[in-house]
Amino acid sequence: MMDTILTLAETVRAEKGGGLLHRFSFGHVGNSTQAYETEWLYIFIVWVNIISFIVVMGPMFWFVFKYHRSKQATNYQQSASHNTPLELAWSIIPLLVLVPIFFWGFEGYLSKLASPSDAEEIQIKASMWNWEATYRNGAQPHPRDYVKIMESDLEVPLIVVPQDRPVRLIMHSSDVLHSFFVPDFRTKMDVTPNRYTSMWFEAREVTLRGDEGTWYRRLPNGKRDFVGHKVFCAEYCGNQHSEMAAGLVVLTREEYAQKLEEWLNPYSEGMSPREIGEIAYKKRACNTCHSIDGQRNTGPTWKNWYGYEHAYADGQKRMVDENHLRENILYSQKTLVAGYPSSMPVYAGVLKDIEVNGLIEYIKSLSDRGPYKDAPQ
Amino acid sequence: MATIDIGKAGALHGGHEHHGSYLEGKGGIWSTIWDWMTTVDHKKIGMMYLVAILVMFFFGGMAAIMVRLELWEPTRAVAGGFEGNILGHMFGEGANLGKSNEFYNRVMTIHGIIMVFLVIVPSVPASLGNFLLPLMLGAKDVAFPRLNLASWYVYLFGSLFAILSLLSYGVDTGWTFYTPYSTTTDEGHVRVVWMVTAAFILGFSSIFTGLNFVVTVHKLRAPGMGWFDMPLFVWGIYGAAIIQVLATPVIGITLLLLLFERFFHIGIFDPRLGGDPVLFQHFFWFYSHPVVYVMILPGMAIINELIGAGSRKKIFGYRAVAFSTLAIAGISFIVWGHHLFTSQGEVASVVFSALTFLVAIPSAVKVFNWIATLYKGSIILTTWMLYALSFLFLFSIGGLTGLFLGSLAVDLHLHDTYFIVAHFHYVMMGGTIIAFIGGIHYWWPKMTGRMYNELAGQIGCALVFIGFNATFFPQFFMGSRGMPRRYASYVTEYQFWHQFSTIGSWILAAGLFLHLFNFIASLVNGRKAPANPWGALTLEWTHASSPPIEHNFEHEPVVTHGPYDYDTVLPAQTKPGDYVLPRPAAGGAAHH
Repeated sequence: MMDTILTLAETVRAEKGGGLLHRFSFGHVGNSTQAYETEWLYIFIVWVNIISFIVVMGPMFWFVFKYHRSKQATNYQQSASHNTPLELAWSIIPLLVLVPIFFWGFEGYLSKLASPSDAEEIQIKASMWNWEATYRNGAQPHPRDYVKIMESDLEVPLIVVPQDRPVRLIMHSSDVLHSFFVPDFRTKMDVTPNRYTSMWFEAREVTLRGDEGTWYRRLPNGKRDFVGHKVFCAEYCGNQHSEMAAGLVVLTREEYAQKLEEWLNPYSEGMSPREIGEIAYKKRACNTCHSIDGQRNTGPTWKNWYGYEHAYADGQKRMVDENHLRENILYSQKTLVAGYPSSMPVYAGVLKDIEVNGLIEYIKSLSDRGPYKDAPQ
Repeated sequence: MATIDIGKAGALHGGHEHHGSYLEGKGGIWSTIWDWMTTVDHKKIGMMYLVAILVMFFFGGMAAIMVRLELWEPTRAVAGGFEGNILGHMFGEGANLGKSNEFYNRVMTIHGIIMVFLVIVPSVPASLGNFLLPLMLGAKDVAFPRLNLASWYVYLFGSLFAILSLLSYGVDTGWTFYTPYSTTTDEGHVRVVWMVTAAFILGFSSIFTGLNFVVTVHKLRAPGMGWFDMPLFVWGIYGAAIIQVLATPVIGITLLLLLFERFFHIGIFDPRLGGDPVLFQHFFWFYSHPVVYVMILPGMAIINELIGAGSRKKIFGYRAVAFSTLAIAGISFIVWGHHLFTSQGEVASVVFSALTFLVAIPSAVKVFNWIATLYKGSIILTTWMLYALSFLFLFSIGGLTGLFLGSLAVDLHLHDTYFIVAHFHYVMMGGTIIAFIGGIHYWWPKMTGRMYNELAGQIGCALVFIGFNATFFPQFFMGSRGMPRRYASYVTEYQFWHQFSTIGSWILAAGLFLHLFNFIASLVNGRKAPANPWGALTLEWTHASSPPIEHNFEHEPVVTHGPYDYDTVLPAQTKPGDYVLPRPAAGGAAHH
């Protein structure tokens, strides 16, 4: 019995991810050292499934065909209604099949949990609805490198990781539960607000750039496809749960080091408040809920927000000026806009002063009643 | 030579005084309604439950259709279309939903809450169980008839809170109410509180029913009926009832703590106050995992009766099936941790993984026993038998795909993806609901006294089977390719699978509606049902008329043969030729 199972396992292992079943199940080979272990165990269980299913369903269909009442004479055959050796056999054999599945699963789990001590550490802060990565030198993904991984034009953070080096993510959440899921690495871990969780992976191959050196390529149907790895939030976290995504690309060690230097200071000397605001708009994930083109989203659009009167949930109408914006940004629950959910987090203590000033300036620039109305866009 | 068991037929239409069926009206329309509302007759309560559950199933199903429609496009598809009408008002506070996920998140939650708390948990025990348990045991009623009626009103009362919450814009927590989202979302609104209260109250209805059934099985079996003479349906309902009584209080306490957290900020789950949100998950699944077996055991219970009657065979390994029921009920209490494999990455997961594989064995044993029952049987493919075979097919897929999820390393990839969505739909719907629909067909003549149209039933079953697989099989591939669950919008590469699935949901709905029309047509002008149209051997068929009289039996039945002694007993038929039954083999001893 065990021999048969091990032989089957070896056959599956030898498939090396190129098989039809593999391509059908995963689309392509996963890009981490652990992905391979998971994939072959998955394919192994697929075979256990297929064989068991045939073993169970084959007789069922055969019996239904063979012993259909139309084929019976008035008298029908009798058969035993119980058979101890048979019953013992079909209790014990499945148990034997399950033992290796359990054991290999357990082995793979431990190897996914225990990271090597020389891993590159990246801190991940999850919040509704943003993934914020902080590297060891303090750098954070810069909004100018953000990517679009969905059909909408929502730009999400780009996380870079080095090739051929274990990467350990130390994760925490500032509000509710989230889960950091990289399908191409075949692993995920929940992110909780009360303690750190961690996961690690080692990417095998550098992400190849797409068309014209960008991170996209055009699909035959004309749609844009992100060439890196997608990061999803896998634990339901409210309204924009499905938009809480990020892109992840694997760089060579040199490129990686260079990127971290580049990203060190998002707000550089000599930037105007409006420019700072434009960067903060994406960096603080304001763009997840607020559009700048007039479209409705989870929150109101910023286009023509400043300088106009808007209805608030308390029934009052208010003219939006700088002080209003400041209060709405920092203490979102104090005055709520009518017709929108009260799901905006409190940003007091999170945003830096230059960011608040910058955001206000940016919102003003999006209004045709603001000081920027005559400036070329 | 075989003896035909005519003796029992006397009990059905013998020369006794006339007793009216339980469905007969009591004078005028108002007094009939009053009679139903105040009845303590288990049959009427079972029927009222059946109607309520089917109504809820309709609403939960509509929510599912909307979920699938919304997922037709990678970005939000249909929500904008509800602007201005009642749905738009309910789910969008009258606003344009075109660019918001609120519609999807709330409908997804509604689907989950209705289907779990209002449909699947009570489905088989409260409706068919209520109707059949006393009949199968040869009793006049359940042990506590008034408690039984109370459980129905508690169910209604609980549903009322759920409906109130829905009408005031619903909740977006998912049916699992995970903290801290559920304690912080919609601050300043009571709808989450109402929904949690609904689940809390419904728990009592569940406990009442469970307690009633446990006592009934222990105390009210007919003379001559030992534990191993009971139909396996009763064993299944009994196993589920034990879990209901033991596990439901835990969810009651947990939901109460959730409410305390929301109102008084006691700091047990809220991390800002030093609480632990993962503790909620432990509490929640300590109930909700055993409850998975409250859902599936009654489904399996039905399958025993259908397979036995449909193949005219003794259920193979009766005792193994009965004991596996108890084994499942027992082990179900110690596997909850497999819902938390990705929560913190604890080594304790290893124990839960091992136990999870262990619970697969008794379930597999049942399936093997049913297949073996078919061997050398005399199989008839009526609608309900087709449903029983569908159950074996779908439940096998549901059970086998559980192996991926029990295996720790693979679960880290598949957890919270569409793979799990597909898996539990194959178990919950492909298992329980399919068995439930099969059971309704099987006992329809007994419950209503009317036959349904067989051809329409079979076509409906085929549509449901095809539609179900078309809806949920693609979701396995979506999941293994990384599509997370509870997503209102998604990346383009999954669109093909989503659309496949959505089309499947329409076929599934068409099948279910066909069944509905078939049942309505049967009530309006269906052929009158004989007492035992399928030639089954359990007491509700052999000793009670269709529909049964108010006190179930003319005389207290005395059990003289086992529930599946098809090899020795040929049951009485009110109209020979209704179904051609094969005779028991020569030498078989019929009673009398």
